[in-house]
Amino acid sequence: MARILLVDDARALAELFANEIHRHGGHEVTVIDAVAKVGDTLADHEPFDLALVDLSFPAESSTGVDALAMVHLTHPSTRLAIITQGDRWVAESMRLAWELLPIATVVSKSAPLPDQLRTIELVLTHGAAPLDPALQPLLPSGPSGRRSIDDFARLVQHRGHAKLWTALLELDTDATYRTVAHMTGLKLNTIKNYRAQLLPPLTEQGVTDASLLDMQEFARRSRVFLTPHLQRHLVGLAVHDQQGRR
Amino acid sequence: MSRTDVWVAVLAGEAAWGAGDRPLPTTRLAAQVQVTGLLMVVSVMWTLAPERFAASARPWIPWMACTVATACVAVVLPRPLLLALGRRRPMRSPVRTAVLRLGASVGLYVGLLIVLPGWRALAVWPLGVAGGADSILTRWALGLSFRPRRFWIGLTRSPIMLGAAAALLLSESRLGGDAGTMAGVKLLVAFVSTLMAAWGTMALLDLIRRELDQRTAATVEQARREEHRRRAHWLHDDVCAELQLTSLRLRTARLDPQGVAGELADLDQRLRMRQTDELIASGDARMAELMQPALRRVQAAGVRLETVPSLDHAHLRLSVHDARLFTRVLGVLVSNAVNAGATRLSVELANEEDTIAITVIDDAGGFPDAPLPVGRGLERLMQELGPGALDIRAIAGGSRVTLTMPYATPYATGLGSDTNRIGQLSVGTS
Repeated sequence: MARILLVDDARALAELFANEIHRHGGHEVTVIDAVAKVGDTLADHEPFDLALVDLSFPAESSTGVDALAMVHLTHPSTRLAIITQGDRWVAESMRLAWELLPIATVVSKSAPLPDQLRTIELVLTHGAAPLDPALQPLLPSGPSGRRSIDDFARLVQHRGHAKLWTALLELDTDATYRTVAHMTGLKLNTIKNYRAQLLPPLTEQGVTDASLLDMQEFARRSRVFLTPHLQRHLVGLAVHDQQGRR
Repeated sequence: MSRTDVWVAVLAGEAAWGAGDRPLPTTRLAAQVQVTGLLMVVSVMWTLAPERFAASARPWIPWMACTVATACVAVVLPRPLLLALGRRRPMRSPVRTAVLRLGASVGLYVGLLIVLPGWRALAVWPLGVAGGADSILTRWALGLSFRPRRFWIGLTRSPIMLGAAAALLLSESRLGGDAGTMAGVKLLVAFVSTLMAAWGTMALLDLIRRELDQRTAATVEQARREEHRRRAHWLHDDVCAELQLTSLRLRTARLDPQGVAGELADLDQRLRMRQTDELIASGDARMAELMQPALRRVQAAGVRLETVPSLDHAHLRLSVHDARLFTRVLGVLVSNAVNAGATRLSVELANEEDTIAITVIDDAGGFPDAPLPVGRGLERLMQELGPGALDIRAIAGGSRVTLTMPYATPYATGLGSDTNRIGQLSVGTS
């Protein structure tokens, strides 16, 4: 019997599906309906064998990619799978998750139930399963996880970068040089230099000639991947500041 | 953010801070004003210069000043000119640009004062217009607000202005207002008039921008409300009507569970088609998304999907017309295979420079030797696209049907330009 985490905002549907998974394979399924609850759920439970995550959460600022990344960063041994309608709305998120995380399979919500259950069993027994062919046109060829989360380290090379990204993430309004300078205490020219330094790694992430606004949008989209690197540099900064004060 | 920081930023100009931003209509307008101001300066200077050449004992001095001032305009003109056209040139070195801009500004102003001495210096006001437009462009790029009253008070009470006024007063009281004092007064008046032109230009352009921003926000809000009303109507008219239809059919047909599932699958397909119509109407549909209803239909019919193109080969974005044709072509090819009793089906895409070849391979036993039935989907598509567009080949146990459709210049494709390749990837069973 395996332990499965099912994250889907359509609670009624998710619970019915969880019952079917339990009835079919005798697995224990924990259902949560918000990305915001993933952190607490992971803290309260032993590592799951499989996390089955929907991508679209209209009521939240986070997406299923955040949930998948959280699970992966907390318990790398947990298999990751996506369950989705696979429409235009989630296509970019699905591609991002596929490229950055070791996704074991992608299950289509509209696939027949026996196929869905068989795919889940395949992942639990073999570690991976073929993805739904109808979803293949939405994903690049080649294996999942070709890019690494560690690539995001190149976007936060030092504390200055960490301050810039943090400001971009924390700003409620559209980022401008003035607002970023105000939040970080950095000089305008310094911010411009940081932007210039970050252009090549941003291009590697598919964002070309990024303006500050583009960077803010990218930061919001990739918050979960950037945050560990930001914390690493900013925690160092806090310790340094305390030592300075002493 | 210190005042020096801001002054250095303004000196570097809009190009240093606006990199990566798409030029807005107001940005282009300000750049056009800047270009106009610079061209007016040169025009006024060369119009009034001959008089100065004639009056001067050493005419080569004003002639040189004219040439230097024109060269300075030529140095600073390209960037605003490009911006006025909605383009940007990447900046190699902001420091070099800042130094060049400073040098060109000083050279231009000094050159103008040599060519246009005395009250003629009032004619340099277009330089203020160009400077004001340049300054407001940089302020916008930095996200700095512009408060006209505060800016004017700061300008008139600046140490330079107060110092110049004090020097003139001192000169008047000590020397009794000689020619030097008068020249100083004229110079100061010309300088103030240039500053006023700059201030007025900044205030006017900023006002236009704020007005346009407000109008844009109102239009966006109106569009948002309209979209909500449209969605409400769509839910009521389309989705509810489809549900009503399915409900009626279920009630009257007395179907078994499998029949009910079939009806619901039909409903799902109809809604997906409606969703695809909306996506096409957005003018930003990729082949990958347009394929979804056809692929789901294959699965719903119990047909095994064997190979389908990956995003590497289905990333092309199509115009509204091409997207509709693509959806129709794929729909007809897939329907033919499913209706002919296929149990396995593959889809391939190959896009050339201006055509897309859509291939469906099935195991439905192949086409009869007779011509295609007139008026049916495949025949109508062949009539529409030309006889050469259709290629039917018999393969073991089935057929391989390819329809080639033209398409207009593609939109941004997102995954590089890997054209002329057939996308295939084994993905197992559905």
